[in-house]
Amino acid sequence: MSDDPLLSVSGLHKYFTQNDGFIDRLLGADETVKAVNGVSFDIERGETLGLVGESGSGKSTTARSVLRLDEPTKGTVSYDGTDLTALSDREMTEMRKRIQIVFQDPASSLNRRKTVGQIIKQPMEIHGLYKGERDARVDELMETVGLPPQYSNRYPHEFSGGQRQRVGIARALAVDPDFIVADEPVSALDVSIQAQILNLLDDLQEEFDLTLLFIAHDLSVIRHVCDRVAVMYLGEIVELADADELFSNPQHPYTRALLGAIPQPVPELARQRQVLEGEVPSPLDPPSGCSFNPRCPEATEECTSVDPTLDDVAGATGGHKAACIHVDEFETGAGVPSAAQDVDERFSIENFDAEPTLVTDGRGDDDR
Amino acid sequence: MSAEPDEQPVLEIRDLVTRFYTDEGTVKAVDGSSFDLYEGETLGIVGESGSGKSVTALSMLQLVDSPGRIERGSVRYRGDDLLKKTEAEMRSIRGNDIAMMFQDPMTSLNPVFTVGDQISRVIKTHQDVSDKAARERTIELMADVGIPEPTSRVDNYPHQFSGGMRQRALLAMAISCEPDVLIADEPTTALDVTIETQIFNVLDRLQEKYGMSIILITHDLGVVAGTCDRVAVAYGGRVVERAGVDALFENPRHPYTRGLMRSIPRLTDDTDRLTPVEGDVPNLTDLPSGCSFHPRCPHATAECESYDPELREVEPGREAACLHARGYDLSPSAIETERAEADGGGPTAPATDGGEPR
Repeated sequence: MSDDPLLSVSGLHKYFTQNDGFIDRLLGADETVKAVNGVSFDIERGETLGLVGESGSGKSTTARSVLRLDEPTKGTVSYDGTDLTALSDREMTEMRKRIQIVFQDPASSLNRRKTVGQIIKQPMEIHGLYKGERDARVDELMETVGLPPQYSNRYPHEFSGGQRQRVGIARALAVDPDFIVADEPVSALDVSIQAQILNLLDDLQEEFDLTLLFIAHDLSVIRHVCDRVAVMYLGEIVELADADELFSNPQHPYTRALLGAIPQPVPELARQRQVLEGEVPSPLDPPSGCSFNPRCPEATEECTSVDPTLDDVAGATGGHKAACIHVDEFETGAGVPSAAQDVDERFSIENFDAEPTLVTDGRGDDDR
Repeated sequence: MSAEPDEQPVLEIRDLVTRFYTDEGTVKAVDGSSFDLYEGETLGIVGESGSGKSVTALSMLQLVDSPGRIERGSVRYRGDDLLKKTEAEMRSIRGNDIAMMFQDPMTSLNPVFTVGDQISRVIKTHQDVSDKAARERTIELMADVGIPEPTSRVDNYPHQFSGGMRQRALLAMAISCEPDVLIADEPTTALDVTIETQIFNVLDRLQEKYGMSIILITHDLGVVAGTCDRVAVAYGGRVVERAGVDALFENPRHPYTRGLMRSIPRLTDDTDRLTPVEGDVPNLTDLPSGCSFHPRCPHATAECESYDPELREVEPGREAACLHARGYDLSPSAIETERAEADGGGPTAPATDGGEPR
């Protein structure tokens, strides 16, 4: 850890109050959802931090609170030395030049009535940047994200999902930010397109020196993209580690369960998927003690009363932290094996039989 | 097809063609799809958006609405062509013999009726039973699919159920008449991975209990790997590769399947760079000429632009629709057969640079 992270989030809370209306308020029947409940993490310059968790884990709310798209209830968000939570709206708008977001669903996050050129140009207009050279910059940005600039006067519906996500990325890049939040940027895309967008983000990060907060529910995607990973459950970070360390040596029982449940595209592994019973509890009525205890295969009596803090994992490397009181009792190295070599070779373009092997007439006849 | 089961398939789909006639043009949603489903197995139909996999399922049950039309092909269920059945006949087949379970449990359940009512109604549609018996059966089914406290939850409304529980309720509805075949269209796509695993466990148990054959439609190769016995890979409205699940993941024969295998991010692999399939998924109103994958295919040659390859056996028990796949038969007799099968002008034979067949 350096002493000068780009982003430093400390004790972030976001509560939503649910009162269905007048009567509820009259009766004081407010219910508080602790969507983000004391989250702290740093992101180093040039780094990609992954935020992973199931629905209801609070990962998107965390990102939105960091950007103040949702006002944080409590906590500080220090961006390059400035506490974002203390900024006025005007100052925050100014700050948004440096912080951009790419959304999950490129179909709904792009204005249908505007051409993609106008969409990409808009952030420059809002921030009064690149006067007189905006059109040229739109062309340049489109090229950067792999879209033909001559398409700039087309509308979003004329593009495929993957292309629309490229438009979303070009829009985020328009103001030359140094920090981008990517909120499930590939989960709405087809498998064969996902890899294109992930590679593009990787290229852009290099080219523009970007720092990324990458939110995803898919741990396989996270593994390819992120330098460090924070695993969230019910509004809290339960494990935080370097990506390599997290995947080779997961410590929190929830992380292990998640890894075990993932259907890997390898039949012998996929058939051994482990079932984690139960569901994420309602944040309106979270369990006492460790919020994972009702589903945890390792839970003891103590877990129902002690709320564990995110602490360093003894003997582990790279700032590995976990929030589990039993963490010292678990074996190390129970993660997923690395098998990159085999896969690369087996499905390589070179290993495809390009020459058709002609079979005899007789064989062809019973093919009906 | 020696590697496939010997008995007659439960379902035999041949050359199914379904089109949608829209203002923007004709959508070739299903463009000559062929596959079989055997007794007690789970067949995966895997494909991306625009592969026609969902419309294939709807077509099998004659559930395609205007402007869509099933143009040709056959869907033989235990020897009987379903496409020749009347709507009344289909109504007794749907749910009873072949049940379908859809992707989105929120839109498939009616918010103003209790979950129990909706399951009971399905039972009473197909069976002559009293309200009381239907309710009892409903509670039994809810327990069967792993809904906790079914005696009280039977009176809950859909919004009181979590996503996973709603999907279980749909499953209860689908199996309520103990169907012979269950078609599950992306049954876990909207769910978290831990819930998905639970649902597939339940599905597994039910398949064993009721002896169902299952068609699982999905975009997720991981789900296919963990759940299916055999796989049909769909692209551009048709099946481009069919194989047993182990064989498919061991050595995919069609360049598209190989491209998919290369491009999926794997948990076991930490390389930064992925290998995408270049280009975009095809637009079904404007499919490329020849092999519809050729614009994206790293192996495409000039022939691929004009020659539309049929799905053919490339080794016992496996089929692929690619001129360049090893074992793909380009001998004159195979081409003759194909020409005879095609209505009117058959495809022209490509220049075979491999010389005369033995």
